[in-house]
This record gives sequence, C-alpha cells and structure tokens, in this order.
Amino acid sequence: MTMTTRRGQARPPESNRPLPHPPLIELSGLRLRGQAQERRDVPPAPFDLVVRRGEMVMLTGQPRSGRSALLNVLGLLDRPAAGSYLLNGIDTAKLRDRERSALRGRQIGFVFQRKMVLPTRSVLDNVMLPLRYAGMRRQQRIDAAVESLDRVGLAAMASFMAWQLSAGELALCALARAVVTKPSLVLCDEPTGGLDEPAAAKVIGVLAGLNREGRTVLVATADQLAAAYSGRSVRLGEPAEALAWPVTLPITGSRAGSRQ
Amino acid sequence: MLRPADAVGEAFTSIVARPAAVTATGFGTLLAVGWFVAVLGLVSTATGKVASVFTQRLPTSILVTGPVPRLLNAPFPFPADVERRVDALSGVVASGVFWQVRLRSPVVVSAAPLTGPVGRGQAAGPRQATPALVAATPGYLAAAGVAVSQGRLFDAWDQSHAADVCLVGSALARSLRISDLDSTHTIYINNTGCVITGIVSRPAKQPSLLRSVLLPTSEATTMFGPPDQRAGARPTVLIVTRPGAAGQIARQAPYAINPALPHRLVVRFKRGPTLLRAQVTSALSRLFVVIGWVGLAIGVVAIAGLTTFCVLQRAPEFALRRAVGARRRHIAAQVLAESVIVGLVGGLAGASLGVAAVVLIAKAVGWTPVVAPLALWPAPLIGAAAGMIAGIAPAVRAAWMRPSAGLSRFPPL
Repeated sequence: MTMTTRRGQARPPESNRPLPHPPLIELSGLRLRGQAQERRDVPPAPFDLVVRRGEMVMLTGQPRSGRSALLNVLGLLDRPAAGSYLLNGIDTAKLRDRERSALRGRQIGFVFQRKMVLPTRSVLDNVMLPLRYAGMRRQQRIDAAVESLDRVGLAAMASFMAWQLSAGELALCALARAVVTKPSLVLCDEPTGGLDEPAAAKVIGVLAGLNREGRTVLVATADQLAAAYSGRSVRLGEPAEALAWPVTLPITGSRAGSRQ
Repeated sequence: MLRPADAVGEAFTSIVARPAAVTATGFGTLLAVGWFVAVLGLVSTATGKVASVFTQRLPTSILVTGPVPRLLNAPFPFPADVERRVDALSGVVASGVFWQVRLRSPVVVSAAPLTGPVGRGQAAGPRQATPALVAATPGYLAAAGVAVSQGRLFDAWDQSHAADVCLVGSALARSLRISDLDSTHTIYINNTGCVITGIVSRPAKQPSLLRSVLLPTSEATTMFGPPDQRAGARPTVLIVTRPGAAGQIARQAPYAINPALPHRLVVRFKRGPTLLRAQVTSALSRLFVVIGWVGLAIGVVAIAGLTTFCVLQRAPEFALRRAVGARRRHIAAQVLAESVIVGLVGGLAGASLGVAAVVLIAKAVGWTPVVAPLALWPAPLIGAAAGMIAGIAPAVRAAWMRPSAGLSRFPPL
C-alpha cells in the first residue's frame, strides 16, 4: 500500500478513472489560521479535501486566497485553526514537535514561493541541508545531494554559491533540496513564479517526473503547463467568493485548465 | 537526528557567513571580557601598589634579649656565633650584639689622663664626662646604621683582638672639646687610654649613641668583665630586616639563635600596619571586583539584546531549517553554539585587550602592572559563559518562532 507500487508507471494526465490508491492527505472541516495580512481573505468556512497517493494536484485561486497558508498546514509548518488533517492516516494534531519535524524532514519536500536558499552557502550545501537534520553521514549526504542535483540538471553548479544562481537555477536548486530526502509528498508554492518559459518548463518537467515515480505532488500555481500535467485542479475561494466556500472543493478528476 | 559534529560545523559556517553581525556581537563580548580582565588586573596592580607603599613603612628592626636573669652571674644568653646564625636567615640585612655597660660607680671619660683617684665627684672637671658606654659588635654598627664624620668604624680585627679602641658620639666629642682626631686621638675611660677610631655622626636607629662611647664587646668584656645582667646591662641582638620580613624573621630568629630553648628568648618588634593594609586592600578588591562583575553583567545583557536582534533578522533562515526537518532544539542549539563560539573568541581577544589596558594604564601611572593568572586564564571561558548566558533567551526565541511567519519574511527574489 505504499507509493512504491506505482513507481515507474506513467500515468497519462488525461486519466479520469477513479484512483485506487489510499488517501495520503485527508482534510476535514479544516479552517486556516492565516497570516495577519491574509486573515480577512481566508475562507471563513471549513472545508474538506482528500488527496490520494500518486496524485498530482494543482491548487489554484487568486493571490491571498489562502494557498500558501494551506500549503504551510499541509507541510506541517503551521497548525490549522480548526479541523483535522490526517497525513498517511496519522492525525497530525496529535503529533509532537519532534515527530512533526521528523515528518517534515523525511516525508515532505517543500518548494517555497520565494525559492528560499541560504545565499552564502554552496548549492551542494543547500541541497544537503535536510540530510544534516536527518543525521546522515557526510559522504552519504554528498552522494544523495549530487544525485538530486543531477536529476534537476544542476550537478555542474554544485560548487557555486547560491547567490550566484539565476532565478531559474535557484528554483531548480530549491527543487533539488525538496526531493533530496525522497519524500512521498512534494509541496510547491508557485514553483514557476518569476521564471521565463524554458526554466518554468524544466521545473514542471521535474515535478511531472517525480509524480510519475509515484510521489504525490501538490502545486499551487496558475501555470498552464502545470495544469497540463496535473490530474486535477482544486480552486481555492477568492476573497469575493469567501461566502461560497467550500462549494468549489473538492473537484476531483476534472481536467486542469477547464476550470480556469 | 542532527549529529553533534554537524551542529558545531553548522554553527561555524553560520558565523563565517555573517561577518558583520558576528563582529558586532564578538566586539561586545570583547569589551565585556576586556573590561572584566582590565578591572581585575587594575585591582591587583593597585593592591600591589598599596602593599608596597605599606611595606616601605613597615618596621624593619627586631630586638632579641635573653631571659630575665635571676642569678648574679647569669651566663651570656647568646652563642658566640649569634650574628652568623641570624645573618643566615633570608631577609636579614644586618645583625649585631650590644649592651649598655653598667657599673656600680659611673665611668668617667676624659680627654686627658686624670691625676687623682677616679671616683665620684670628679666628673665635673673640664674635658670630663660620665657618658653611657655601649658595648657593640661591628655587626651592630652596620645594623644600627652608625656612620662616622671622621676616622673609621671599628671592625672585625679590632673585635677579635680586643683592641683598645672606641667610637665617640659627636655630641660627647663636643663636650669633651674633641674637634678633630689629629689633635686628640685618645680618650681615657676610668683613666685607661683608648684610641678613638671615629666620631659617630649619624646613628640612624638610636640617637642616644651621639652622647655615648661605643666599644667593641671584646674590649668591654676585658675592661669591665661580662655584662652585669642584674644591673640592666642585658645583651641584646639588633636585627635589621628587609621591608616586610620583620614578622617572619621575628618568628625564626629565636630558633636560629638557640634551637634548644627558643622560647626563653624575648623578641620585640613593632608589628606595623599589617591589619590596616589588609583592610585597605580587601576593601579595594571588593569594590573593583563588584565593578568588574557589574560591567560584565551589563555586557552580557547588551550581547543578549544584540543576539536577539540578529536572531529576529534570521527568522526566515530558521523557518527554512525548520521546514527541512530541524527540531526546535536544533535551532536553539545552533543559536547557543554560535553564541558560545563568538563568546569564546571574544573572550580570548578581550583577555588580550584587558592585559594591554592594565599594562598601559600602569605604565602611565608609573606602577608595576600585576595581572593574576587566575584572572587571565579563565577569561575565554568567562567569554564563552557570557555568550551562553546571553544566547539563552535568543535561542528560546528562535526555537519557538512559527516557521510559517518566518517564511513570509524571506526577501523576494
């Protein structure tokens, strides 16, 4: 019942059949806490969402519609204001900091909106960072990081300092860091934001490749290319539509882009 | 689980990556520890100065006498080589034996031979006097600081040969109308001729010597017999010590003079203001140590504030670390480790700065710089401890930041 059963099976994006895999993410009655400036925009009504293993889901919605806040909750960086969040069947509300940190480190890969890296460290150091906290030995860390960089096509720049990278390379570096621990869930917040078309295509290509390997990928983006690879799209309520929440959720199996 | 070596390595790398912030924090530690070391160094320097001022004023003379005699012919209370024994003690400058010559009838000293029988009532004549006679060894002359305006002091040869020589005090010489040794070179003690070797002009310790006649002890014994201890002519050893050594020599001298019965000897010396010195230096130390600790505490608070500020600036970084699997304690440990490392280096530099300050200030004032190793060696550790104490609050702060709040503060591309 693990994702490895799907490894190597390419799932065409237009597939519309019911997913046989168990749910990885189960949100029920979830209410987001939101951040100060977003608070008034956060949908006031609780909502439900189920994401199964191996799915690639696109989160759409207006800016400040709570996509980042939702990703923070899904990535165990924040706790929901109300409702329950089951990750892999485990109620995350009952987890302690130590267990949440371990899950973040091993199960979840996060690509942040602002492509956060430590600018004064080398690309290799940045990619190795999660492995440090996993307690891996240095040589193992280097091997895993090089492999991860190789996958995103950035291996040649491993010794560059992070501040020397272009925006596209930064995005790939952040992506390599997110997948270096081989997580089962990859969360991406605007991974193609601010990138030119070739760079965006490369990022989306890597994400699609990860999904083909059986990893569950959630992408918050308005990128049409991402929509083409996503199994379905989930549209978060716009501020003006807040009262209509949660009628738009979940929208399972629809072709991404048809909702746009 | 983060490996300890990785944690320290991560802290080091973070420090190197933020030279400006680290320099500011390290400079704070440097000033705090430098202040602490400088104040402690100035305390010991000032204490040393005070002690030396007091020591210069400490008495350096010790008098040792024998037991109070009960027999008519009490034995001489000291061994023959008493001076050699005492001089062997470390801290003794000079020593010598002396006693007042006391006889039943006064001794008449004259500048010319007396014609009639020597007796009471004849002392009033011209160029006659009945001065005090002091038997002394050459060592005593050195210990008492006796100096002559004319002639020379009597010496070991005179002493060993019991030569008929004497020293005359300048006041006595005037009353005997002896102006120079060329015209008058002999005085008569109870009509026995005695060559004047010198006229005493400056007895540093005992002004009464200016009105006395000084004889070698061997000559005095030959002339008047052994000292009559019942009559008050008690032999005494005068010991002059180096400054500050008097107390110790006073304890050691009886054992050196008479190891068998040291307690039968009577030792007299002024204790001097040792208690006052102790009070002054301890009050000085307490005051300065309080100032030192207060400075260090202020420094720690300042470093803590600075570190907290830096930690708040680094909220995005900590959020990122949390997002990739760091636990709260990893963040706290990193902040603490960085703070301790910076404190250690700052403490090292501060110790150097403190010592330099002490040396420069002492040189400017003209004192001898004194820095106790006990104040110096722990300085880096004090810096590290200061760093740790100052790092606790920021570490807790960093550990309990909400990752999502930190992420939103990450600078945009």
